[in-house]
Amino acid sequence: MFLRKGESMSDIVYNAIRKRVKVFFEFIDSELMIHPTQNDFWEYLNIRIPENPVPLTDIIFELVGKEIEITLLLKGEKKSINIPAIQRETEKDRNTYFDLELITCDRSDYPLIVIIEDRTRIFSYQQKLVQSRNETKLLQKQLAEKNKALEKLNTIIQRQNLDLEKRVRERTQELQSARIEIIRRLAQAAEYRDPETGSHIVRMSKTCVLLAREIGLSEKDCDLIYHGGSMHDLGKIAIPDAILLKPGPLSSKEWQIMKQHTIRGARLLSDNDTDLMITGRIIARSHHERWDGNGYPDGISGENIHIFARICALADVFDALVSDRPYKKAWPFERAISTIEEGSGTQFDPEIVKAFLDISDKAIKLQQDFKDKST
Amino acid sequence: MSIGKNVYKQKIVMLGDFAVGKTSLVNRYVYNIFSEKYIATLGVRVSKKDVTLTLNNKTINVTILLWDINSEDRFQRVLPQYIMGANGAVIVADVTRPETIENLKHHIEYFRTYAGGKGIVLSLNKTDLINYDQFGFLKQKMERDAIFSKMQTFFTSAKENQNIEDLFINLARLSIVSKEG
Repeated sequence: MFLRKGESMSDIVYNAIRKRVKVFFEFIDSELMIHPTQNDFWEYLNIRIPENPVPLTDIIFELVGKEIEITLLLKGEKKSINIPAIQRETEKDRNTYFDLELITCDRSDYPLIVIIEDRTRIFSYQQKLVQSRNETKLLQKQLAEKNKALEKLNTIIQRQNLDLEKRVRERTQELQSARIEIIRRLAQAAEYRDPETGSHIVRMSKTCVLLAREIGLSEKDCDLIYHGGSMHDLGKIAIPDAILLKPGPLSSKEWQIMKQHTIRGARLLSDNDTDLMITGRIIARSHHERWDGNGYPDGISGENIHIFARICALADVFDALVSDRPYKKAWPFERAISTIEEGSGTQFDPEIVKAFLDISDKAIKLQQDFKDKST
Repeated sequence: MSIGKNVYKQKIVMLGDFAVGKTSLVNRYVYNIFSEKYIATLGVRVSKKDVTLTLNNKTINVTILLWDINSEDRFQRVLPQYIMGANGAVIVADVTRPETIENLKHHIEYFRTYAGGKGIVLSLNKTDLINYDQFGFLKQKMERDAIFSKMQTFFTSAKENQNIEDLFINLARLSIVSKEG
């Protein structure tokens, strides 16, 4: 650092301090007029230095309203007037922040000094912090409101969904009932053509359900087997009266045609893949299959025969044994049960026979409750 | 402070929660500009507007000095220095944020503590963001409130320049009347 001509060390120190803290000042007379002497004061405020004294409040209009305090200051009853963090646009789109202080001076011609301390750097930084904090708060509030609105909407949608689900359930139930009703009537039509069977379909279907429950099938499966079981002889519609209603024994050729009722029944129930129609198809086709593989129409054996068909096979035979037929009298229950037991592992699935023996009391009661009117 | 015959300088402070639109109201009134962008005010920014009023058949020239002050929260306080010596206050709330309307009472009390019983007008700002029903509900609420019903309330929109001129002129008139009275 070198001394310039005419510059003292104290001048350098003073200027250096002044530059670091950026403090600007001007003197004010007792009439509250600023007498312009300090160029940097006016430069800082971006005001062209006036030629004549100007009223203090014309330049520092932040002091409007402070008249009483200024009077107290001049009387020595107040030490200073401070207004911190004043923001001014000193240049276009450039904000300046400063602290303002009005203090007394011991000069008789200038009793007051106005001091401006530049705080642009620190306050610009603080402004960014406040801005960020306020924006976050606003965003949080907006999000909270949006969440609230979404929750409300969600509740409405959930309520509508429940309502829709209920309506769909009701409609599905209606359709299902209609479908079952059609099937029941179709099965009845087949029954009417075969007067020997009487209430066979009802008894057989109910026996199927007793067995299905006993071996642990689900309620849904029990329901399927109940309705599907009623379709087991649907194919008899396609068998000529001469064979179906023939009082005597069937010839070999006639028997072959008679056996066709399984395939015809399954075909009648084809081209529809609802659970009920699939069940009906399985039962109609396979209820004459045997556990040992000597049944018809496919000659399949064991667990290759669908469980529904294995159940129906037993229920169908049991009902036939204990019912009157043109060619035989109804067998006593004990005899029929022992015949079923004898068929375990040959004609019937042993597990189902076991289940049948366990529910035989219920099966007998069912036979009594739904006895054919003709018997 | 009077400057010359029939010329007044009126210090008006803008108070209210953050982001209610205090700066936007000043910018619309003084500079006739509006920006959607939110810029938080730190400290105080004073803007000037010269207006001519007719009061009791007298024409009065008024320089309104609008003190746009930072909002108060637990990090920033509205300094008493900013309020003292004010001739009136515009206390602002955002109609879309109910809590800012509740907080009007706090700002009214704060202003009265440091400026005495000077003129106050309320600005319920951002009315462009609410519908007719919400507006009606709010109007009823203000009319039924014991404190708010005694004050001049202006439903304003700095964005759509609604009621801004009325807001400031009425306050200027009110502050001169209370000063002279």
